[in-house]
Amino acid sequence: MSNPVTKEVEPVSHYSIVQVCTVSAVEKSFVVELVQHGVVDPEGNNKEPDQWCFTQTQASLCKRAANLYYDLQVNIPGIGLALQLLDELEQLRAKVKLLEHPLK
Amino acid sequence: MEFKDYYQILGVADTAPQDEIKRAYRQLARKYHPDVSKEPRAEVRFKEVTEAYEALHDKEKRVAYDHLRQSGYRQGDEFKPPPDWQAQEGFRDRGFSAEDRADFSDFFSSIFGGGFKTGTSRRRQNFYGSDNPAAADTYAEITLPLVDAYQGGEKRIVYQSPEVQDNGQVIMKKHTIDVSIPAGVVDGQHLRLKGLGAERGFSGEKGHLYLEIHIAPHPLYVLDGKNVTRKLPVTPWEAALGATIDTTTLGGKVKLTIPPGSQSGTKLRLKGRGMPGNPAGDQFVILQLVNPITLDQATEKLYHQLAEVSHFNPRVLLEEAS
Repeated sequence: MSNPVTKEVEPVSHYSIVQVCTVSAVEKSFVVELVQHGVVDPEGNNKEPDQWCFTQTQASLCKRAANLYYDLQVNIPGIGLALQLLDELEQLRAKVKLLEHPLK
Repeated sequence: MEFKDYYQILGVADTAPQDEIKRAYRQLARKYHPDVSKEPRAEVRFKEVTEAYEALHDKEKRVAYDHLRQSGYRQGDEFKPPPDWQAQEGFRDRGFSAEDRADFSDFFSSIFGGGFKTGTSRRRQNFYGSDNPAAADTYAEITLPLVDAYQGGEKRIVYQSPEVQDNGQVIMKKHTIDVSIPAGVVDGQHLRLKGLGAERGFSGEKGHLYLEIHIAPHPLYVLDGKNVTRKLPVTPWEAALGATIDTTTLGGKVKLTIPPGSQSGTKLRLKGRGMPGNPAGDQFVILQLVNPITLDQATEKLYHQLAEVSHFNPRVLLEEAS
């Protein structure tokens, strides 16, 4: 079997709502609801959703929110709280890892 | 294939009522959800408990599963479905996609024909079933070692995209491609590959493939966006007197100047030594003072001299405050 051709990639730095929907596999209405509840805060959120601009961190946040919503049935206000606490936990875990004894 | 004991996976008795099954599933799903848990093999465990719940929460499926289990099968036993299973149970091909089936084990698919209505599947059905313009775009993930993410390079990936058959049925087709990963990709970043998605309606135009990058944890470096942090053990005299020492970065060895009077926890920055990019990230080094575990005679003598000469008492401030 011949080797596949190498494809060139284009790094995505900013995401439209359509791109956020693709990478999170969610409908537009779900992302709109996340924005309305302040879970994510894209640039231009006072304009129409098609004009919103999401950073990579915000796009990842939408995906994690969708995972919590569909897999664990967490409601949207709960998602905001859960993501905030999970972020704090992540930061603390990273700090602990760096404070552990170096010769351990 | 292996028989799966779904009751054992959920940690319930085979007589457990439906509400107990639901409770056990929810507890385990929270415990092992990949976005929440740091347990080893969390993702695998999460899939197992989701599959077990899918089989047991539906009364029809549970009856069918119990029927099989009563034949004496136990977790890990070699399993082959009875020859008349398909006609008897009628679970097969209830119109679920190949992608849905891919999420569950062969064991589950051999009994129920794949397909599940919980979580991810329902989300995908909503997503692809809607007139969402993004539905022609497809998505894949790749996990890279940190060093590969730093250097970039060619990687082979396998992904699926929906394809309409001549009979109108939509199947998920597997594709293998090589992609050129740019140096300095970060965790969660997406790379777009134009024209590798599904066809948008009947336009002939194709959607894109979005490749999500994950970076595997590294034993030495902690990644935060483009910045990299590591701890660096130093001797008490290097910290007290200052020193220039060799240290590693992702890009190779550098000389690091430790200022005199450094403490455990002192954070030093190596500008531009993190992940490549424009601008590049920084590398942070956190010093950790390490004492020798055993002292040779000469060193011990010097420590005794130091104890006699030095008036330093690190407890003074603490005692004054109490």
